[in-house]
Amino acid sequence: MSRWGMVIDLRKCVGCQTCTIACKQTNNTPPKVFWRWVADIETGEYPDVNRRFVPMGCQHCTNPPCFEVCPTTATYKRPDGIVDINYNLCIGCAYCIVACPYLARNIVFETKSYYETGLIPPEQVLAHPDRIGVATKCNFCLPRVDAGLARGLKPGVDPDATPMCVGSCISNAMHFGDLDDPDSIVSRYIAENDTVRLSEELGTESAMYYIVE
Amino acid sequence: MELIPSQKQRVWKLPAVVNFTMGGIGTGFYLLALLVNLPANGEWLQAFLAGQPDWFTLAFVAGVFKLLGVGCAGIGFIALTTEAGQPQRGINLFRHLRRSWMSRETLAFFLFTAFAGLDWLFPFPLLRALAAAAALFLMVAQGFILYRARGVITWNTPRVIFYFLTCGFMTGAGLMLVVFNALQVFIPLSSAFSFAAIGFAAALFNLALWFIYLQSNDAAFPKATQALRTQKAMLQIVGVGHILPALLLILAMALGPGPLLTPVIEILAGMLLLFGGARQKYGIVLEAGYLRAVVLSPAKFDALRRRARGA
Repeated sequence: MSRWGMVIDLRKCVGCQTCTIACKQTNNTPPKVFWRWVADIETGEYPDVNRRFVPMGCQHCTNPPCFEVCPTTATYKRPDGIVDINYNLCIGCAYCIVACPYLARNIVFETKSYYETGLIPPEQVLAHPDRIGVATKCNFCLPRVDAGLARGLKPGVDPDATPMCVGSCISNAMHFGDLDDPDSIVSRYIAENDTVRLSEELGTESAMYYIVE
Repeated sequence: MELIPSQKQRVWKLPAVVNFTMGGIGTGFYLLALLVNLPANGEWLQAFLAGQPDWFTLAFVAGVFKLLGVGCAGIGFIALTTEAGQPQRGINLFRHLRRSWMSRETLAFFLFTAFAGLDWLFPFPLLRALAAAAALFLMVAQGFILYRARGVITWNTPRVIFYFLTCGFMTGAGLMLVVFNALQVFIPLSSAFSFAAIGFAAALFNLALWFIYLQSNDAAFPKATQALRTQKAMLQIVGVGHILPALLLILAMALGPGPLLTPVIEILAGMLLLFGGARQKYGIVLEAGYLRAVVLSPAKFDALRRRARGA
């Protein structure tokens, strides 16, 4: 069984936010909701300062705090490591939002347009009424991954089976693949570089690895 | 390296405060109400069937002490329905009893309601014991709900569980002081225990737990709880919500049960205890509800940086 994960090389990320937009376009997320976004961070003290860009989103933890607290089992963990939400079960209690230490989850209570005129025709077509009043978050473009696998494609290698943020990255900073396959691109990156994970001290064992230096 | 600074949670609002506050008051009140000697042992149904004229009074008094706690906790649950995105799917709350404290809280509330309701209709020690166990579990579950919210610095501490227990008993004692003394005007009631003494002890315990709660080795904790340490907050929580009612209860105990002033003082003290508990929970949920900063482990980050520079 595969265990999907991501490696993000912060040395390469230029903060262009292409992944952010690719995610929004693919998943049709509403205004102010970002499943993938890039934090713009200044580190160090003058004169030794540095600017870094850190792509953020659901970390698809091995021990997800959101899964543990969810009273409805709407949040569930697939055998391949992807943490997903069953919108039909979610009651929108937002417990998962306060449990997630990565600010990865969102909830909206009404359909909103990007325009002052109200929903324009494309937005009406792409609206997701099932996502109103429930928690939402990145799912590693699960429909793309599953559809690709069904067609015999290899996620992380074949673009059509790979999350859109990874496929759209202009600097090749983001990589997706099977963490359990020693020959996958992510396993090789992890083996060849020093990687860190966000807020490791919380013991969430996230599936997103960052190459910092 | 701090990537995203700590920020206030904005999804749990006043309804969550109402739920935690009313849950504590209701369960605390029910547990203390077990100490009240009910007229005719609360067996109003027999009086009704026997055609006794005082059956309604007996039913009312038994209802107050056996169902008011359930009603308070119920108000909390109703408040939550105004905050949830899809409250009509509430039945799904029972789906994750194995791990989620919110599921367990819901189950505890339903058991509490069922057993307390049955005990009101057919008074029986076993039903009362089961209702009391469910009430205690509900009180504990509410503390665990906050404790398991790993994203919030000020909730994700075991101290919050113990605080919820003492606060539940304190606010329960507050409501008991109000109700017991108010009902005494119409119906003579008795208890082998002094609710003034219980309220006094609960206020002191809760105040001690409050100061213990505010202590933490986590560097981010003092900053997140800053709003609870301001002069105004301290005056409201410590002064008005704990010290003042404790002093009033000492006065009431010194005066003894005789004078008319005693019940008035006890009612006032009870109301202040209710205020103190509600103000604390408002502070914890809304004022100090800070999400954790997202960080790259500082030690590991520095080590990597040093190694990269050395290379």
